[in-house]
Amino acid sequence: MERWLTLWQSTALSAFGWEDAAMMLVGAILLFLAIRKKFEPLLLLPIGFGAILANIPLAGFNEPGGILYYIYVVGIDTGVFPLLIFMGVGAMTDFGPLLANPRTLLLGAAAQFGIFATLFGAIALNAIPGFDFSMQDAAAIAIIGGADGPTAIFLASKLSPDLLGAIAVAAYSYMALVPIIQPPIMKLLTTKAERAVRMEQLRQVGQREKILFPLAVLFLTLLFLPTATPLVGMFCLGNLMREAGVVERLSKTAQNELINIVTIFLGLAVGSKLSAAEFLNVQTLGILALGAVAFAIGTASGVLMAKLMARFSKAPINPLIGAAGVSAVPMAARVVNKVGLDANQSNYLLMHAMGPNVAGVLGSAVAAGILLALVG
Amino acid sequence: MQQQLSEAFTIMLTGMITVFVFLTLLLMAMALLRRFAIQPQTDTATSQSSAARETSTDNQRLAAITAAVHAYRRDHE
Repeated sequence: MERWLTLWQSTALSAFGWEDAAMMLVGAILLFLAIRKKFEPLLLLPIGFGAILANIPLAGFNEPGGILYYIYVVGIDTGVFPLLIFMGVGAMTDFGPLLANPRTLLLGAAAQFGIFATLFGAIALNAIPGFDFSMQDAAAIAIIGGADGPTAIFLASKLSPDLLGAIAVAAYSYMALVPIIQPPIMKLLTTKAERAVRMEQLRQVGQREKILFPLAVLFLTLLFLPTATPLVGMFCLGNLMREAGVVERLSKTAQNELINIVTIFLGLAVGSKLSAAEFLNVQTLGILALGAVAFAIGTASGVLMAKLMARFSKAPINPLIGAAGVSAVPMAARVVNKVGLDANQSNYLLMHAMGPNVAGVLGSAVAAGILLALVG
Repeated sequence: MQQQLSEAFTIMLTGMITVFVFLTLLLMAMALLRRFAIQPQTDTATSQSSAARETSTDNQRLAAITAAVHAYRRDHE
């Protein structure tokens, strides 16, 4: 009889609490969103599976000795995984459209208002009982508005590791929801005539310019914003490998094999942070709400900035391209293209929107560096 | 609470200004870069002619895409 009891106590059934079951359900929902709805499947699938593994009672995935624990310590605690992903993103990024129309850099800057407004919003939320965000927490939540997964994970791991799970899930979910969140805001702030504006064709950009650009970005960052150099530096390394044309093998590895391998482990490690104690509370709801607000404000400020620039510019500017300033490459640019086509069936804005789009990536990395310097 | 809010507000202002100043500096750096990186004359000539060729294929492609979109819309209404 005693043996039976021992055996029973070693099964998951006896140790199951409702919290574990609830978190497994969250993992299952993420799997459903990834597989059925195709929401950022590359990340939500390993995150969802990691969440299920992490909450198996008695298996100890998350304790010293468990694999998820080590993956987290090696990759996210150190900041290595998000930085490697950023190198891959750099190797995938073509700065041509931005170099051809440098002014779109300002759109990428304006859209970062979503980040800083959300920081204010997170602190204001403390007025409601049940919320107690520190300045570090608020900064880590705000970076969701940068619409950039690796940046959000990097900053959260440095400033507020307890909230990392919720922040990463919010960031990736909203990036998948960009085609739903953005168009209503874009249409609200522009008239049909503005949306139909055609832009001049972009000039060709030479190779020398493309090679010198990442070096110039790195130079300015190390002079003025050293806290942003981990992100910007890895990004520029990836981009230089792409544009230099002499290390095609490295560039291919960074943007394919390496980024894929790291993505698997990054997803699992983020999933391991989805434990009941850290996820099942009212703060998670607050984070999800603030993330949506951050996206909306970022989109709106990008569009408004584009309208302002259109007023003072000789060359026509379609204000829709401002919405692409929230990074989320290339989804946001595709959304701009689609909304533009709705207003004018022969107006292709994709390449024009890629400029603010990649500017948004730089902008959110810069914003992350500023937040690290101010509250880190 | 009050103090935290005003601190958050200051961070919001400094942050936004810094982002703009930094990217404006980058904008100026790009203008310099463009002047510095102008390719030799022969290069621009060939790139121009290839640009012209690409524009014509672009137009053809555009026409094909527009036709396909119209056909799709017609079939799906």
